[in-house]
Amino acid sequence: MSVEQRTGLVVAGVTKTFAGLTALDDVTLRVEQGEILGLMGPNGSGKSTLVNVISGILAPTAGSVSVDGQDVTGKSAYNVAHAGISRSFQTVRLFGALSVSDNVAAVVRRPRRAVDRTVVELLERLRIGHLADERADGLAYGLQRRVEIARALATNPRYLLLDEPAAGLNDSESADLEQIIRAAADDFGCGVLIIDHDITLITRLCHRLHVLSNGRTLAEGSPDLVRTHPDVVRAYLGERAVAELASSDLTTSQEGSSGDGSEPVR
Amino acid sequence: MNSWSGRRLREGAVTFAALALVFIVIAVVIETALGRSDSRIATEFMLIASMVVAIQAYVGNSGLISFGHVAFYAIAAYVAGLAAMSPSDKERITPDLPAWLMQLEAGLPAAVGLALLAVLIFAVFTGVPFSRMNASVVSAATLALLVLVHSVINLWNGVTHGPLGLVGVPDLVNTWVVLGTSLIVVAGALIYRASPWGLKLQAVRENEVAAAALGIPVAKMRFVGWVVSALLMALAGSVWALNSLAFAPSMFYFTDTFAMLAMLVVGGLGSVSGAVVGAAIITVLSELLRGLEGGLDVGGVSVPELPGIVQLATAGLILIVLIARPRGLFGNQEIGGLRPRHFALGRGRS
Amino acid sequence: MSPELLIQQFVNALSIGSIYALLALGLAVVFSVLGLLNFAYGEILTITAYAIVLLVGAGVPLAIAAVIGVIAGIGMSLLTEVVAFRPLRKAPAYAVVFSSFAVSLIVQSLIRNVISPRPQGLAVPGWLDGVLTLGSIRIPVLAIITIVIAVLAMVALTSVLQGTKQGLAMRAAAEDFQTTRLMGAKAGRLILLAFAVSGTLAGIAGVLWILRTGSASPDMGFTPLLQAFVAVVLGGMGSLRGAVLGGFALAFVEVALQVFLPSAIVPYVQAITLLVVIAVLYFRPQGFAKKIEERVA
Repeated sequence: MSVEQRTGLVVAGVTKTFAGLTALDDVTLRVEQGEILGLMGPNGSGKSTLVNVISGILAPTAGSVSVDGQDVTGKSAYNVAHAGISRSFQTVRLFGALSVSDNVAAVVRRPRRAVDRTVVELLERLRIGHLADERADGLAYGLQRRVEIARALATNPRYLLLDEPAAGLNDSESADLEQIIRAAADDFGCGVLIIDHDITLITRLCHRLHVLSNGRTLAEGSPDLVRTHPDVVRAYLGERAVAELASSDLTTSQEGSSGDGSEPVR
Repeated sequence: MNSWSGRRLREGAVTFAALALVFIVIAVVIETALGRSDSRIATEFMLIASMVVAIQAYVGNSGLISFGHVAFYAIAAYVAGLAAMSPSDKERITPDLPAWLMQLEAGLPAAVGLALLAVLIFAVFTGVPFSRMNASVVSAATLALLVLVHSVINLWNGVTHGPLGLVGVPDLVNTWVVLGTSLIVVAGALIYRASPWGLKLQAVRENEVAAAALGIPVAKMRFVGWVVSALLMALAGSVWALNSLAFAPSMFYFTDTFAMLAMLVVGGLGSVSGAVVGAAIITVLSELLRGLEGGLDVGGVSVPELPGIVQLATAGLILIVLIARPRGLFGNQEIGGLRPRHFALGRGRS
Repeated sequence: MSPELLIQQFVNALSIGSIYALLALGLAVVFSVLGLLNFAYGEILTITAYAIVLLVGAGVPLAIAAVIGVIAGIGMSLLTEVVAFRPLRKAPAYAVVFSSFAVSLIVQSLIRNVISPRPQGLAVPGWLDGVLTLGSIRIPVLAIITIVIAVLAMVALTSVLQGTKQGLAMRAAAEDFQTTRLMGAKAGRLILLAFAVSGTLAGIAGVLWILRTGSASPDMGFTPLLQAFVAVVLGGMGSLRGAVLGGFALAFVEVALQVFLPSAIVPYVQAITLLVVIAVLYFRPQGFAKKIEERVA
């Protein structure tokens, strides 16, 4: 990976250990603005830890994180946020006692127009405008998730980190979420890093995938990986599926990793 | 100006109108209908309620319990009192004052102004370390602050007249001044609550990690809240001093701290309206019980040395409220934010 | 300052520090399991002290009175848990600050009304006032007893925490007190145990305190409470070892200030100590403890 690249959210060689336990081992990835990268992997593979490291809640033991050329390695969450990163959380972390509009208004920075208007427009775009005065922790789970995303978008981020945004949502809510995230990338121009277990959602939504296992990169490339890459298939669907795969006409791991210039598997 | 939410300011304005009405009615009743002793109690109430509102501005918005606000009250009272007292009185009881303060015989604006300045310096000085501490540490630190200030006032005989306190503080205040002060303090607290800093502090209160991760400067917001509430406290406290003729260090310690925090808890930490209502409830309760005791009538709730019923009952009331309705009567709700569904039976939250 | 005096003051600081360390440890035990501070903690000492004063006054031998006093202290601690903490398990964290504070005021009020608002003196047996002379160094017997008892108590606690199943459970709960607070019935017994341990430590400290000061008054619990808080904060909230260190550190700072400050300023020792503490917290908000990694879902 070229050191000169100025744009993009760049995670280079990040390692994170906790008292002997290695949660992340030399992970490297990159998200461009306007791109949606899906971060996948079995439970415990380090996905949330990686997002916490990127967003500044944890400091990496080794490696670096940079945002459009600006190094944010080990900086506090506040500083990372001001470098252009915003996020949602695996367990919803809304400002519970505040109204939905206040949740959003609280994080808006240097608005060019009256903050009330900015908030209303954002809520309307996510189709939760009618909930503006509702208390955040009184909402149904799916709606809370949407408020969290609205709030994350309110900071005008360059890169948006979403930690399992579809968890607990039903099919129609997931479909809505998909639209919202795609709009974030297309209309807002954000680079999006999304963690989720919903394979259908991920493969439909993401331009690229990055798969972790035991803190290490397992594979990286197009969303096809989940169907074609033996290691990935093994991780998600088990040995039998791998056997079926090997005996079929479909492409092997070779195409999966060389097709779009992504990293070779470690 | 774009960061200010018109919506939040409107809610604050409605709340202010309601609370202002209450205070104005009390002031009018004092001037027209009440006898001397009842007048004293009602006037004290307005000032004490203002102080509870001042505390609410920090505690309510930040979610951090402060035991130290009475220290601001103490500093403001002593500075204002000393500024206003006659030089001859000061030469007698506080001989170690610096010359300029000794010669000073300030009127109301100057005395209050000096008190505000003193508290501002003190609040900034303490606010810098305090706003960097985490939640439980800062509560303990504010307790230390209370003890620190009380101890200094008690010991520094030459400047504060020690345990005997200040006597002969001129009465520079009438009902309308008290009313004005109360209105300013309430307005200040409501404006702060509606402001971008107040909102951000509330966000920190609700979820500190998320707030920081979304770019809210946690320590800075806590600092602003600390200083704003200290200044509001100083305003109410200095006017109180100039209404009180005499006071001693024992009035600025634990009992008063607890009484004011009790009012806040009963009314609801997150609400200015709650602070006022809580103050009213505890004041009324105390007066009724004090009447039962047949004891001394010294006005308001700041009667420190009386052992017995009042304290016991107040403490008991706190326990009951906390168990039955932990968020207090108003919770996070202001009068201006009440909606029809809040009155529907069995629904809604506060 | 002569070496003899220095040694004597050192012993003095150790002795005071032992009491502070016990106090801090008792407060820290509850904090480490619940994440909450007990504002009625000082009243454990008060109850113990009054029990001893009243019993000794009625002719009961000191040793027995002391044991009963500690038991009474444990009772007070458990009562606080049942009345102020348990009903508020689901309430916001600050609620117990008020409820335990309320309990504290109620106890003080009751003592004032039922016993007396004036201090009650303890007839301390003569031999406790004795002094051991080693060469030219004079060491009070009480100081030695204090240090020995405190150290024994802390050693006993450590072996309980590390050796028994309950101790292990308590340490596990201390790792994640958010969960403990919400766990309900299962955690109930564990929390009671924590309060019992806390009461024992404070009770023992109460015995040593009353022997040292010789009198009990209704509001006597406030100073120990403050010292315990300051020590716990200095040591880093939630760290038991830190609490002990904090207790000794506090005592040494106090004694050092008393010894080295000009006599005019000595009355301000408490105030200056607090200033020192605030300064320490400015530079090191987490106290003596190591920084904890933020745990985020």
